[in-house]
Amino acid sequence: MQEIFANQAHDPIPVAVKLGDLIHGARVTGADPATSELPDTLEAQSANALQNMKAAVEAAGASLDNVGQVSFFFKNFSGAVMRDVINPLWVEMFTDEDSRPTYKFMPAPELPGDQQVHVEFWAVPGQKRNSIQIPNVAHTNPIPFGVKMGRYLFSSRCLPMDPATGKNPEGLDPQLSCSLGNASTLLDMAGMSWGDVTQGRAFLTDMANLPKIESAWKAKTSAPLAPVVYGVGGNAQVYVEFIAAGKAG
Amino acid sequence: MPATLKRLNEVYPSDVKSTVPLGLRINDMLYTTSLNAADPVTGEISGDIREQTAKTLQNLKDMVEKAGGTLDNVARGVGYCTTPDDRTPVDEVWMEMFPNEKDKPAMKVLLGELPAGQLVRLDALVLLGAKRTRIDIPNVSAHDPTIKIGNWVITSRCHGNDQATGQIVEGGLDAEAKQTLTNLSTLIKLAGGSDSNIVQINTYGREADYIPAAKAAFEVHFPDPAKRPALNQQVNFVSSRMQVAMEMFAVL
Repeated sequence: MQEIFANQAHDPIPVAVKLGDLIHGARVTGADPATSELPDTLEAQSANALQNMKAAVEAAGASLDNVGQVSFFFKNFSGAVMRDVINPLWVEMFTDEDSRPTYKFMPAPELPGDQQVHVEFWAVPGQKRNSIQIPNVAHTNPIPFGVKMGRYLFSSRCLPMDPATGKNPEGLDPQLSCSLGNASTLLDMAGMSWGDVTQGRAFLTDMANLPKIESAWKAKTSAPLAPVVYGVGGNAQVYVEFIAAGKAG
Repeated sequence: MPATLKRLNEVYPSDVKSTVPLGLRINDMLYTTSLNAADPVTGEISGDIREQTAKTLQNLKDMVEKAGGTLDNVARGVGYCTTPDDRTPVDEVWMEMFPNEKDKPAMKVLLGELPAGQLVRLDALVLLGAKRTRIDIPNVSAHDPTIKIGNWVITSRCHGNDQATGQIVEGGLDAEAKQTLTNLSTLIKLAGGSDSNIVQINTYGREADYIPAAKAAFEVHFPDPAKRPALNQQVNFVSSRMQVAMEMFAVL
């Protein structure tokens, strides 16, 4: 274990931790790296947060090339604003459209104080990013469907889209089947299987749907599935997201 | 990192509308990354420093128990508060949670900037299923202990105590830094290891001008650059009785 500090001398709280062959960043904020002050705007906080993420992976002896998955948490959640703010910064930081980490946007009204954005990330030092796209099932944002790095696979939120039509079917049951089907395709393309999945998260519009989602998940894997209630886009009622880890070496 | 990962997951709040993870679980290890006094249902943070510390520790207890462990499995706590006066109440509430002098986690309380309304934050490291053993250098008292748990050896902040007299050595910063590193070596030997097991050393001084001398002592103590532990040098609260403090994390 190694703690990673953004500004060793003046900020004692680690921004990230290196655990064996993984780096996890859990306290990346929009504070100005020089002064530790939080700027007023989401734009400025977001730009700082991405620079702070870069500094954190570099302090851990890795680089932006080793980042697999990023989570953005916003105090005020608005898809359009976030896309307008984050995506330009994102494509500027990750210029190669064939090799980008995947990301997700999350509402987090509980963010404390003046924090408008909070960033967490997973990185795998020494491993090249292999960004995977599933044919006919793509995010509109500049991210891949999943990222394989060494023995790890980080999924995006697996869209409940039917690969035959490129559209979300109507209703929970077919959506659940498509989201899990797309997760299976991603695992296949990464040369992995459901047995390698170590965690799942279900994003759902209605907790009443959880038992059905859990039972479909359990039919695939014994990995824990954590629910989060979240206003997913359009007619979508469910997304699943997962991390998978194969054997070392 | 073990070859086989049976568990690798983020630990989420029990409130399904709270989205930010509380920490990580990797096999039997729990690492908290955002524990504070937030109410598990409403997310609200309220109360004075004692109340916030008690709520934070309750959140830790809940998280450990939910993962199938107990407070006996807690290896290390790091408290952060915003003023030197708040360190004492944080420590007092911690001692209420861990009253047994002979068996408590490594601990330190640092000063840090916290978001508005938040008076305390706690980072904890937990090894589920494992129990602590306290390790002491004879003659050297330690308010917060060095512990061995599983194959980890974790100190609290150690000082430049002379191993014969127990007093902080004379001679100022250089002498204290050298003695503190000697004490870390003694602790890892008492735990059944050697300097090569140390993976990280964090140093603490009151002003940034202590950094070069502490670094120089570190480089003398670990002469081979290829075999040095990671070094983090911080400016933070250090008791007026001493110039420097250091902690280590080692894996046997």
